[in-house]
Formats: sequence, C-alpha cells, structure tokens
Amino acid sequence: MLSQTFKIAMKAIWAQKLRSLLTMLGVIIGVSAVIALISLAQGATASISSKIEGLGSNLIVISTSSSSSTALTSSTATTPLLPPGQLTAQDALSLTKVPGVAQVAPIVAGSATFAVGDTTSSAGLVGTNASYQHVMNYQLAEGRFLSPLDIASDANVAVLGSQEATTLFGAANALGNTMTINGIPFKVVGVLESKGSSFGQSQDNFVAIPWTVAESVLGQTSISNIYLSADATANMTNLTNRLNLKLLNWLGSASNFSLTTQSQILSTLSSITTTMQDVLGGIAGISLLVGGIGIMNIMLVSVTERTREIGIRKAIGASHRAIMLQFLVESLTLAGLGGIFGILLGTTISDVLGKALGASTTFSPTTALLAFGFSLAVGLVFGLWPASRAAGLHPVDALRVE
Amino acid sequence: MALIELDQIRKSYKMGNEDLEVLQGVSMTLDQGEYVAIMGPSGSGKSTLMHILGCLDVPSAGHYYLLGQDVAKLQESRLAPIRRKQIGFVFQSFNLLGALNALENVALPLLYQGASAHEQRSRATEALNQVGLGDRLHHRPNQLSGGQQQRVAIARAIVTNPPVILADEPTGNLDSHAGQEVLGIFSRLHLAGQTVIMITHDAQVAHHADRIVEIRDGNVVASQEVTHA
Repeated sequence: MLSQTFKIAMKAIWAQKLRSLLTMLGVIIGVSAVIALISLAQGATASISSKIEGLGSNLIVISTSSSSSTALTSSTATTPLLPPGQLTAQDALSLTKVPGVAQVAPIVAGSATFAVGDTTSSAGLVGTNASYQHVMNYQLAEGRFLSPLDIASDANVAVLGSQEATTLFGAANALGNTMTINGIPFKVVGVLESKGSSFGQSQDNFVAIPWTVAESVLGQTSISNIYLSADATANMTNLTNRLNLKLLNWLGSASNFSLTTQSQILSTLSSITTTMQDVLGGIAGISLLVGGIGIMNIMLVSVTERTREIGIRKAIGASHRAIMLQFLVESLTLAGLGGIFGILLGTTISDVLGKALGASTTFSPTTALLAFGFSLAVGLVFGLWPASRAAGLHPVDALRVE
Repeated sequence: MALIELDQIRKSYKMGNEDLEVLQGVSMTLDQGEYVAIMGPSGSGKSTLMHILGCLDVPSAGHYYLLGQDVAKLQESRLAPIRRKQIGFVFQSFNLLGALNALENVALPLLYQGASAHEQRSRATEALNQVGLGDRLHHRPNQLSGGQQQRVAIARAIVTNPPVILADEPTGNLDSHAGQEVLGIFSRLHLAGQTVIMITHDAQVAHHADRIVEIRDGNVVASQEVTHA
C-alpha cells in the first residue's frame, strides 16, 4: 500500500515537473545553505585549530599591559619590584628557572623600517632569542636562526620571515646580504619557511633580531610578550599557577598582565565557532521553514485542483486515511527530494567555495542527515493541513466540481 | 432479506432561509439480482437518491437498510468502507483518473481494499477482459473513445465483485452505438446474477431494465415491471 502510494505521489510530482521543481526550490536552497555554511564553518574551525596546534602544543603566552595609569593605582597596594607593565627581557629569562618551563622567548617588539638598496618596507621587528624558533615552531628555509652567541655579543644579524624576505629581496638570495633596520646595517643570516596566516594575519612578514640589539634599535627595554614552552611532562595547571604568582609578585596586579595557554585559546575559539555555526544554521533553517510554507501553498493549490480526483477516489472506496496518506506522502516526497537535491547542491557549493576561498571544508554526514530529517519534518508539518483538507472533502461536493 | 430497503427517505437542503426538500419520503425495496432503472426528469431528485443509494451522502430522515444494516445515520468515515465493499459506481462522465492507464484505474478500488500488487493486476486484467478491453490495458483515458472509457469505468465497478452496481446516466455522454454496447454489458452482467441500478431520464434506456421506478418531485410515482418482447 505504502509503496504504491509513493508511486502515485511520484506520478503526481512528475506530471507537474516545473511546478514541483519550483516548489522544491525553497527546500533545496534551505538545505544547501545549511550544508554549505556549516561545512565551511567546520572547515574553517578545523584549519584554525590545526594552526593553533601548530604553534607548539605547550605554548604559553604572557602579555604585559602597557597602560601605566592602571598600574600606578595598583602599585599603592603592594610594592612591585618593577615599574608596572615594564618587564624586561632579563626578568623574562629568569622564568626559565620556574619548574616545568622548557624554553623562554622574550619579545621586544615594535615596528621598524627595513631597507635593501631602494626597496623599503615597514613591518614588525621582533627582538628575541634562540628559543623563539622552537617555541613558535618555525622551520628554517635557509641559513640559521639567532644563536645565543648573537645575543651575548649584540651581533647585528637578522632572520627574515618568508614574506618579508620576498618583499625586500624579491627572487634574489637574501642570505649573507646586508639590509638596514631604521638605518642600521644588519646581516641576514637566515630565512624562515612560510607558516601561512592565522586569524587573517600573516605570520611571515617580520624580521627577528637579537633582543639585546632590538632594545637599542627600538629605544625601549620593556617587553610586550613572553612566549614560553612547557615541558612535555609538566602539569599545566600547576605551571600556570606558579607563573601567575611570579608575575603578580612582579607586576602587582592581575590586570597588568594576561597569561594564556594554548588550550584556553582553543576553547575560546571553539565556543566562538560553535556560536557561529548555530547562527549560520539558524539562518539557513529559517529559509528551510520558508521552503516549507512554499510546499504547503502548492499542496493547497493541488488539493483544490484535484478536488474531483479526490471525489472519484472517495466514491470508489478510499478512506479518509488513504486520501490523507496520499497527500502527506506527496508533500513528504517533495520535501525529501528537495532535501536530497539540497545536500548534493550544498556539497557542490561548499567544494567550489572552499576552492575559491582557499579554505578547507568538512562534509559532515551528521549535518546532512540532520538537514534531510529537518526537511522531511517540514514536509510533514506543512503537508498536514492540505492533506487533512483533502481528506475532509465531502464526496458529493468533490464530485460536483468540474 | 432484501438487498436494499428504503423506508421514508427524506433529504432537504438549505437554500438561503428556505428548506428545499428534494426527496419527500421515498420507499422502495430491491432484491438480489434485480436490474432496476430509476427514471425521472432532471430536478426530480434522482441524483440525490443515487448519492444516498451509493452511500456518498446520508438522508435527512428515514432508514436505508443495505444488506440488513441501517446505513442512514452513519458518519462519512463509516460509509467509506461500505462504498469500498458493497458498491460499484459508473458515472455519466466516466470519472477515470487521467494520469493512470486503464489497468491502474481498474485496480484502484483493489488498492483501497488492500489487495497485493499482483492480485490487483490479475483481477483488473480479468475485469477489463470481461468488458472487451483486454487489448487496451495500458492506454490512458485520453487515448480511448468515450465508449471504451465507459467500459473501463464498468470494469472498475465490477472488479471488487460488489453486491450492487450503481450507474448514473451511463449512456448520457455516449453516441447511440457506444450506448448500446454499454447497455449490452449491463444486461450480460445482470444475466450473470449481478444487481444493477441505473439512473436515467431516457425511457428507451430505462426499458433495458426489468423494472422501472419512476420518480417525480421527490416522490416515487410508479413502479412497473418491463416485459421484454
């Protein structure tokens, strides 16, 4: 009975091909929007997560606040050993002695003007030490990174991010050549491999020099960030507690610094992307709802048009239930087909968009199944009223209609 | 037990503020195997009577015993199974479904009875053979002549072996040749023991039946046997 009812429904849908397609269009657009948006969002999440993990799995970032006014008020409470927000690289390096810390990279950062011949560029200058490469997980394309000796001897040597190397030297070999930073000559000793961008920011357009030299180039001794890597075996909670204590001791107030572990970044990110997915899914869900109303509209028209058919079917013995089932199966079939086409279209769109935007996309069978189930539910809900109208027709009245 | 017994059947419709009484107390009895023509001019109430006989509608008052069961007060949901099992309809305008071919049209009542697809096919084929359309199984209604369409409709009416066949002006839309063919089928079915009730305004057509019940202004005015020459 059900399979024959399905065949009847398919016949009715096929008999009105264009109209059926237009009716399904609402559901098709809704489902494909759900699929495409969610797979793009999931793809973006996955790629960002993997980039963050690529930073180094035991990364801890300490940022000091540079606002001195808040620091002054807090300084009345305790007597900090240092001016608030004015950590030096030496302080940072002393963190190496904290149990659980593997490596420490102090960052004396600022922006500077780089020049090679007539080519100039303005970008980030990072004054740091040899640990930076390991903590931040950079690979060398050629040459070497900063060495402890460079730091100790205040050597004017620079390591270029891959993008900055291209900007300054073009296709020419940068290694061993001289460049100037704020007018001071430096020798290029290494070029890093490209790491791509994270959060829309390139990680390749900077120049790294010894922090000892950066202090004099930038004219500042304070550091903005400290990048630490933890021992693989370290208990992260204990370690962050110890670091927090130390920093409180130095800076007086928790408002003067922030300490972020990689797992915190990941969990913040995942809560952002979950919200993003919910919002996108919600918007797409609304279009699915609109599609459902389209189905209901057409089903009502169809019931009116086929009043006589319903009368004939009733006269030869179709029950209330049989008529109801016929129209419900028809709206379910419309919605279900719309769902299937929508999934196909949505995957195609997300593939094409993913390629065009250079973003990776993740096809989630769960999402597809959910979207299909939702479109069936839409077909059921919006098919009920037209179906019950059809089933409730009085046979004599229905037969009278021409 | 009579197959059909009508007892003081009344049917009225609201027309604005007035009640229009279309049937004013119709009583009659039909036995198994009878071939009865219900004759009357248009507006006599014969169509309304046919709807009630066919369980498409219920009377405002009176009793209708079909195979001993009073169906006069039944709800629509209880009438559907009666139509499905006890009655085969033949309409003036054929009322075939245009999207279905002859075989599918004839199989439809069996579908609603819950027969298997195989049984539907074999019984529908047999019914179409009976009306001489065994070679037109897969033709759509619009590929058939009027006479052929009406024969498909008759096959659809007899496919469930109902106790009663109700024909409403079955020759009304046909030329005389096709009409004769259709009447011939009814006569053959009657000879085989089938009860046939035919509604018509045409005296010549009515004379194919064994008995003519004449109805006028909602009342039975005559009931007479037909003597076939």
